[in-house]
Amino acid sequence: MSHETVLSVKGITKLFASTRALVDVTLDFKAGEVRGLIGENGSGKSTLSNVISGQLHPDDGTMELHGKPYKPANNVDAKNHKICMIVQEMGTIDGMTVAANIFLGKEDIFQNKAGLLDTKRMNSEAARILKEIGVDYIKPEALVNKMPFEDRKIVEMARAMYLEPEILIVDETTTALSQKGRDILYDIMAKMKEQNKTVIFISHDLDEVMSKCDSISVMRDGSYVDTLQVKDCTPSQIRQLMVGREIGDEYYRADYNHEYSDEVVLECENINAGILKDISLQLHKGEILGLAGLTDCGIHELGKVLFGLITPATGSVHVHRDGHTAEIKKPITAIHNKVGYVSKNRDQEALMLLSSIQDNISLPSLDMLKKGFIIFPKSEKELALKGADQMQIKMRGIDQTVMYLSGGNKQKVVLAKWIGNGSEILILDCPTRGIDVGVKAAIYRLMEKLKAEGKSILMISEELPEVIGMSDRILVLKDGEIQKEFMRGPEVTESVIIEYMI
Amino acid sequence: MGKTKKYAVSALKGLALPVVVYLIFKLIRPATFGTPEALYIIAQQAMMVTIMSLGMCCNMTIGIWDFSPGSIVTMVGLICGYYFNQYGFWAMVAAGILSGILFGLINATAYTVLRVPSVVVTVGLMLIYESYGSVYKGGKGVSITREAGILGQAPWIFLVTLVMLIILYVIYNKTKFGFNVKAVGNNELIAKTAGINPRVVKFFSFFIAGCYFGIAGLVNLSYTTALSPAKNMGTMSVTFDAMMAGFIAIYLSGAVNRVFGIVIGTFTMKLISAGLVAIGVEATWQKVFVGAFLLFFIGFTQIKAQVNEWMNRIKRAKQVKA
Ligand SMILES: Nc1ncnc2c1ncn2[C@@H]1O[C@H](COP(=O)(O)OP(=O)(O)OP(=O)(O)O)[C@@H](O)[C@H]1O
Ligand SMILES: [Mg+2]
Repeated sequence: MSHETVLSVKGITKLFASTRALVDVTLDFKAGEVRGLIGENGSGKSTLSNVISGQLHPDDGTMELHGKPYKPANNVDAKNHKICMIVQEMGTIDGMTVAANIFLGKEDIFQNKAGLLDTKRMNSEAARILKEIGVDYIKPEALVNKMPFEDRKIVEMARAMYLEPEILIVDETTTALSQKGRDILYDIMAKMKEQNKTVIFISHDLDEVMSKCDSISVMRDGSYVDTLQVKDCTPSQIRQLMVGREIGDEYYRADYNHEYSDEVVLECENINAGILKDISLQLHKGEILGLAGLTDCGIHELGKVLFGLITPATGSVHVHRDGHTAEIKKPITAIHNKVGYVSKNRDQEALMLLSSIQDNISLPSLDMLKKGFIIFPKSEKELALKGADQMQIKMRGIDQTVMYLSGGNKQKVVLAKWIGNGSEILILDCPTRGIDVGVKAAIYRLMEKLKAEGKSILMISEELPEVIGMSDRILVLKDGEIQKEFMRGPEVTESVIIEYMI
Repeated sequence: MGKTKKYAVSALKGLALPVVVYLIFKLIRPATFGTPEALYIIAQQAMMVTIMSLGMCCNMTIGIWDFSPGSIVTMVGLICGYYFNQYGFWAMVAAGILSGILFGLINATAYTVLRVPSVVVTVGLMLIYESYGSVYKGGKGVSITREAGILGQAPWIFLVTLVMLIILYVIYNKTKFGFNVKAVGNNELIAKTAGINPRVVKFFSFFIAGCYFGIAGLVNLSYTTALSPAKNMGTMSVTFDAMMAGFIAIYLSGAVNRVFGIVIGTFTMKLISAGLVAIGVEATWQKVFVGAFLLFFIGFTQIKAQVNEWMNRIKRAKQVKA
């Protein structure tokens, strides 16, 4: 297998106003390899991907594809050069079928002489591609509206694969996928490698990157740092390259004690809703309670039920605060009682993308900030600045539009919003999704601090290491039922928990 | 479920609405309402609005509000009348088609060039068209002979509508343009990254609309045989009729194709008007009823989802208890 250079990027610089997203980046991508691209939030990974896939034009620098100058006018042009990308955000359109989404913008292929589309052939082609990538449960005629996020991502994968790309860029997709979806993606990547094609794989999960990639390129603050061969480097070496300083292997809690008060702050009884079957649980003051399970086992729904976003068929949710008790039926009751909720579905459910960082952070705190009828801009700004600072949000200023933040920084805005609000109970659904190792560590420290202050945290996560590493107590769910309860301790390991998950 | 059975079920779902409306009025006024002859007339009246509403279909999918259709229909009617009186039948037909194309181009250009929200552009254009109509060739209004109005009488009125319906069905469901319309309507940004040019799609959407309004204008004049200029937004009520038919089609779109939904929609709207006349409701109150119906209808789509969820919860709770 030849490993000749397919794409070279030379001296690429990209500025957004005063943000230097890419600074003089030069690197090569080779045929027949899976290249990991890693770096902290806002280090320029997505920006580089967007430049390569033609969606952004660099301010300076050139690219070469197979030794010839490559200057994509837009992403359609890039696709014609067989370079495709699966994006971090949602990329399918509601109200259209799976097949129509797969062939979006490419409908001409099915045009007959009269200019009409052969929808039958379109559907059978779509079915063929879906089968090729190993999915047969998604039907080409189905509307994407009602499909879960994960299946919609798979539709995007099918769209990319239809073009038989030579270079496939996968930007931070795996965190949105369950094991099933990940396996499909890994298969695609392996197949591409076999065919001597190139995959550029972006992820914050170092273990994943190390196991799936041949080599790893590291970015820091918009600059290219180095490329290492996976077989001759260690995770801590890479981590150090990423942040420019040493980060220990251990960023979870060091202690094994599970102390928290007996006082119950949030509880639910006999919840039946959707997949959830007869769930009762209690969250105590100063406790970090972990909810573990597979994506579709009901943990995410349970989070929504506890915040009042889903009304259960039976059962009730109560919050206890300062000696009085309230039943949570709507999110507003939850918020009034200082409950905060970070959704897994960031862009759709947790952020106002077109508003500023300040507006997003201060939104749940407006009641707290107002003096009489008036909210003074100064106090709003202070609150937002404090939150942004605490979460180390990488931004141009507090008035920057959230839409243009990098994926991980968006997540930090969501966290800042509920912490700024002085929430005493936090329901965190996949809180470290898309967040880099440095900030992950900071979030874990913050959780410990909140715990020490007597606040309570319900952490819903599909990443077992963090559930084990942070929780005082772990509830494992399977098919909507609580299978097992674990107390924090050295004997609780991934393999022990997995037994109860599947 | 077999394919035929599936089609039958969806047809039944779609027809349920007009049937229910019919039965309600029939129960109140069994003797006068909805005799076969009356239904035949209602069907003819529904055709012009159907053509208008078909023309609005792409715009509504994209999310463009167009308030000019009624004024274009009137203006085209006046032009057609003038050409009939000057040059005869075929000149009238040609004038209808060509002026439709012309208005389509004006609307499309105004919208794409000005880059102002569609509501503003089309309300402005409606005022211009109405005013121009009232000064056009002296502003006295036009009339044509009954023989010349053949396109407004059965069976021609049905044939013309059928042709327009088939054309739109093909455009909306079987062409790249139709697919692009749906993509831009649901998520412009993603459509753009897939290489679709939203501005081009919107331009053609307005253009197609104009062509349909031209034919609607011709059919309208043929049906009424006499027409006077409108003023003070007098053309809005027919625009609303067509829009409501579009909303009904959106509501039915789970069961029947949007294009067929529009026909069901216009027919339902006309049934309601006829029913209100039959039970002796005054003209002003008729408008109140129709407006309330629209609000109820749009609201109902929302409420239905909630009621469904609520029913599911009760069912689940019962299961748990058992
Ligand atoms: N369209 C834009 N306008 C303004 N600033 C932008 C825009 N796109 C990206 N940026 C900024 O450029 C920097 C690099 O962002 P980029 O999205 O490439 O980071 P990333 O490495 O993908 O991070 P993450 O891991 O969080 O996804 C960030 O500071 C971001 O705020
Ligand atoms: Mg990114």
